[in-house]
Amino acid sequence: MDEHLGERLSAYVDGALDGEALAAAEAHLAGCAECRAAAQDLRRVVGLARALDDRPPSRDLWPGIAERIGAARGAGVVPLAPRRRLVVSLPQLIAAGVALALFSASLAGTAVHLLGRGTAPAAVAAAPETALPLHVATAASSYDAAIDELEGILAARHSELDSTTIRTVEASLRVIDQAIAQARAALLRDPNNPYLNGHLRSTLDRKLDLLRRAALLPRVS
Amino acid sequence: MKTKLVAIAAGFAAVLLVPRAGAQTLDTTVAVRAGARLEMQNISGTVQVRATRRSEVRIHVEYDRARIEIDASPTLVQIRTVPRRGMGDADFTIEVPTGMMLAVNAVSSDIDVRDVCGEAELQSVSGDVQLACAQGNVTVGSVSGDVTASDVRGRLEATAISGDLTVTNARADVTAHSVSGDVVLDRIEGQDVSAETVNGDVSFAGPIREGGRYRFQSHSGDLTIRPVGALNATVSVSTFSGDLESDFPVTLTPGAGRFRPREFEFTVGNGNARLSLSSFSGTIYLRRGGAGARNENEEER
Repeated sequence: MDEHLGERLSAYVDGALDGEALAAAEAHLAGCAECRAAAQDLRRVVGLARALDDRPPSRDLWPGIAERIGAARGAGVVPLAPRRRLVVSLPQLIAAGVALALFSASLAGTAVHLLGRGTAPAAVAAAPETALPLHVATAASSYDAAIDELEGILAARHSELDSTTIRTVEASLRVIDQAIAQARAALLRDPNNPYLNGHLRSTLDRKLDLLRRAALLPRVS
Repeated sequence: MKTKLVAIAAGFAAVLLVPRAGAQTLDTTVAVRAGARLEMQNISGTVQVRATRRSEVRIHVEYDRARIEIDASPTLVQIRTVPRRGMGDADFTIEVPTGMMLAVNAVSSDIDVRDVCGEAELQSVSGDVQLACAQGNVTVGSVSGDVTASDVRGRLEATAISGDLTVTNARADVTAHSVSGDVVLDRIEGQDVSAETVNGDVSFAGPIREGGRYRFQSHSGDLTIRPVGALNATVSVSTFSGDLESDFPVTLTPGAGRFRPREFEFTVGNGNARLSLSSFSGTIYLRRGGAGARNENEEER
């Protein structure tokens, strides 16, 4: 993908390129149908995710979600009737799934992009972790928002998930958190080490993936 | 023609319902066409799926405190266990035509599928998942159970969170993930193979194909890689506090790697394949001879 925009594509779509980088990207796009199509797809996905914020719950969406999470119809289904107070709302589940898919697809590129440039968009630079170098903290804090949201969903679903499964998930999260802490500690000693930066991202990806799976687990009662 | 059968544990139900002490039994057979698909959801119990040469799906289930729903057409058979008052156990034994597509989702239920040899998507939350013989796009996973897959052709994605994950005899591209379990990939012939765990060990035995991509990663576990046959690969090694032990000569290219923390690349043979090995604090073993995947500590014992 060296000849294509690669990770710069998400930055271009996000409007994060300027100057020579922007001009180079535009020049490449003018002559590259593949990258133009990819940019178009990326914009469409971003637009879809934005549109989800205001989308009201729909009864018609449930069968597909139920099929996806393997929940039984009837007694095993979380009804979508608005009068019922849901522990986890359908929009939350959809948003979690779509946003995470979007997040996962774009974050690796974004993180690499950030790490490569050593700068950060204002949206994610607002709350860097002071103990880590800025580029590491910025990439990590990008994950933190998604992790916080998914942890909130998981916490809200405790009552409807099997307690053994909850314990397994929590134990696995502790394992991952320990690995993340060790990777961060190592980065303090060697902040520009490519392996450590990649390893931290990879381990954060594992945590996101586990939380996503846990958020979508079928209820048992 | 589509048929629907609902057997209710507490009551009247179908002719096929044979009550037993403490449980009910349902045994029914539906005819299906070639290329049909089976979708089923079970809450608690077991699911066993076996192959038959007949063009039919035979469903035998013993169940308690549950309702079994079956929707059947010649192209799609759907089976659901609906628990009553949050409870419900069901033990399924299902025979399906060889090659039938399967999608089985379970909560506290083991899943055991053998000799069907079609596409399969098997997911359990807290049960073990075993799959023997599948082809095409194959997905297996469990949160707290062990996952075992063998004789797979095509593309396999396997996930175990806390359990161990074992794949044997696969002629497939394989992606395997775990968090705290070990990942064992034995006799794997694939062009694109990756395995990742956080604090488990990863072991692999199989040919490293020309132009193939192989990525193995753990945080605190060991990696034991045993290429079968000739190794022609560019090997990248990354670790923070771990070590590398290699039976193959490690000749570093000047300027191509770092040593503190240890991150470097070397070439074996023509370097055609890409072999990426990384463990934050574990030891990476690159061994000759793929006489079965096993981690180094296992061998020492």
